[in-house]
Amino acid sequence: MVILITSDNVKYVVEKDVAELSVLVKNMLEDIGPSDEPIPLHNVTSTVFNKVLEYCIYHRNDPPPSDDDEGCASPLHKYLASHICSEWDQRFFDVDQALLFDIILAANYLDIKTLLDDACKAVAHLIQGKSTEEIRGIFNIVNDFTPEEEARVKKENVSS
Amino acid sequence: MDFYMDHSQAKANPAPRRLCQSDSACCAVCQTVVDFQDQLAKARAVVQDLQDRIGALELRTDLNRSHPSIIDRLPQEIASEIFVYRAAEASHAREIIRLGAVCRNWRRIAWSSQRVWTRLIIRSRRSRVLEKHIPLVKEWLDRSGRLPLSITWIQPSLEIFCEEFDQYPMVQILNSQAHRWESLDLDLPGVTFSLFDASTATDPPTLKTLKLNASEKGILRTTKLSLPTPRVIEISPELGVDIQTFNWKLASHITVALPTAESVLRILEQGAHILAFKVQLNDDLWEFPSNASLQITHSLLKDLDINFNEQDSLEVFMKSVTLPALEHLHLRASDIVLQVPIFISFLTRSSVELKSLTFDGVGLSPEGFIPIAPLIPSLERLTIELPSRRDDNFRRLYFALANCISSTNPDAILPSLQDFHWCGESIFPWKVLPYYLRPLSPQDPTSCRPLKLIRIHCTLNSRRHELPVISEELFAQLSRLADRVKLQLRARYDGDTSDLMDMWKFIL
Repeated sequence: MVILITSDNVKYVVEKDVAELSVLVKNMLEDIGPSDEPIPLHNVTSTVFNKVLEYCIYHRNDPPPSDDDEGCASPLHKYLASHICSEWDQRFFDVDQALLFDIILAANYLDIKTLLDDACKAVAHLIQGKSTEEIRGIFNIVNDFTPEEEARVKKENVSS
Repeated sequence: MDFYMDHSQAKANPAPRRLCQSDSACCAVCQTVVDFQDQLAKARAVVQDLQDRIGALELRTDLNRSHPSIIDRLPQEIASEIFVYRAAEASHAREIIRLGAVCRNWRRIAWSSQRVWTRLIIRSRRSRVLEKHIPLVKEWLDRSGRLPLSITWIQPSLEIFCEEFDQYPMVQILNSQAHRWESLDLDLPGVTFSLFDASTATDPPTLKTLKLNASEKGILRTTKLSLPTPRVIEISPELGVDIQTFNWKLASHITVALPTAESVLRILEQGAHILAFKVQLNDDLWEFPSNASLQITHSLLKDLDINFNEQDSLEVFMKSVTLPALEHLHLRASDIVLQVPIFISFLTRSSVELKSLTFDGVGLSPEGFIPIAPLIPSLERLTIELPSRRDDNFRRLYFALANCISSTNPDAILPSLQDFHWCGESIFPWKVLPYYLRPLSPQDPTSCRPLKLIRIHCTLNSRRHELPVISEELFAQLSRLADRVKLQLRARYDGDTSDLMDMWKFIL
């Protein structure tokens, strides 16, 4: 078992194989060797870590990504290779935007590649089929183009 | 908005108000004061309105400051990754362009992420419109740097003919990037495919996926695409393929139409890495001499889906191949009979552990299925689709599946069966179905087949068949099994489809 402490001082006792899905934790465990020392997770709150842990427990037995997928530079190939997303994953990422982005930041900090990829796909899915105005609305973005830039953007859209 | 007094309007006022002590009509001074007061009130209202609007905008600005754009919260490489996934999902170029039209920050991220621009989609109905895309395509390719490209070009009907197409700048642009092709997905008139030229690639070609879809029949004979070694080759069945056209050496997934069984064998001979092979034999494509002398053993092929055009092709193929890794076999034809001894010889020679087997329009010789069954004890899914009224010698199987082990029947057939699908133009013997789930050995109550789905679809005609019914007793028996197996028993009778189990539930 591994003891992990989140930034808001909540202690978690986690099975080693689950904890080691995080490359950050795995490296720290290797560095400190056999020990009961708790590992601090400075950039993750308990609210977000609960979700991260839920994901890691569910995916603990998944096969690691193959070398072929890793070495593939094409986004299409990478996307197709990992496109199959289970109903469980879809439900898992059906959360409010703030939490979804906190999960991304946590996955990036903890270095959990599959979670990071799946969460990025969930955000990409949010903007699927949306107009520019709708995207601005979803993410609370202000159009900061100058009139000249706006004209160029419109021209690009027409020519595509 | 006019805050200033208009004297001409004041003079035109027919009934001025009185403010002074004068007994006579209101003096001009009073009238002017009243007008000023009215104008002032209007101006105050306008000022208040503007202040309210400014307040509302400031509130929104504060909100934006306190809740910055979600992308702004992420490191640029992650935001870029999200855009890459978005681009990979896109079915139209404008969906990718739109990423740079949201705000300056998104534009900066999108424009600086080379991988976003490796997915190029060209979709146009008219060639004239296509010409307008050329500057955009050039810019697009520049933005993608030197990364491998996934190109999709959908334009099934070109207004220009092949000779002009040869000179068409878009093809030349794409050919100039042949060394970067990773995925080439073309839905164009068949005659144009031979113009795509990977032989000019200066670096080793990276092509992994090649999909060609043609709307009209034709034959693809070119050597210009034979240099790359794609893993996935999918050619629409309208397009016959000369096997010299492609390099099958590293292909793992192939979908193609070929003229003869021998050409299938040749591809198996060349493609040692093939895992899944879907092939349609179609001698309408062109004349091709058939030669049964090849003997092929392919040790990787797991999934074979083959549509035979004639009896000879089926027999030549079955006699010539040995496929020890085969797990899924889908045999299709239009009213062709598989000689059971030849099939048994193939199964024995290959020592296969089949998991799924489909007979779609393929009947059996009079020996029927029973001699085949002991050779495929691992079978999990069996599909039988009979296009005609004949039972094509499968009928004994339906009853044999109901038998358990006895002194006269030492081995129960298909002990691993999970899914059983049957579709035909006759009435299935419904009464045997409950027995499919009973223990295979009377001594061991747990020795049942792991059946999860039984799907029976009868297509019937009132002139030839009676109304399909299952008895109330059988319905009760089947209902008791509902927690173990999903039953889908349907009859299409004179065009109307009925679910027989649902009918009973409704009646009861």
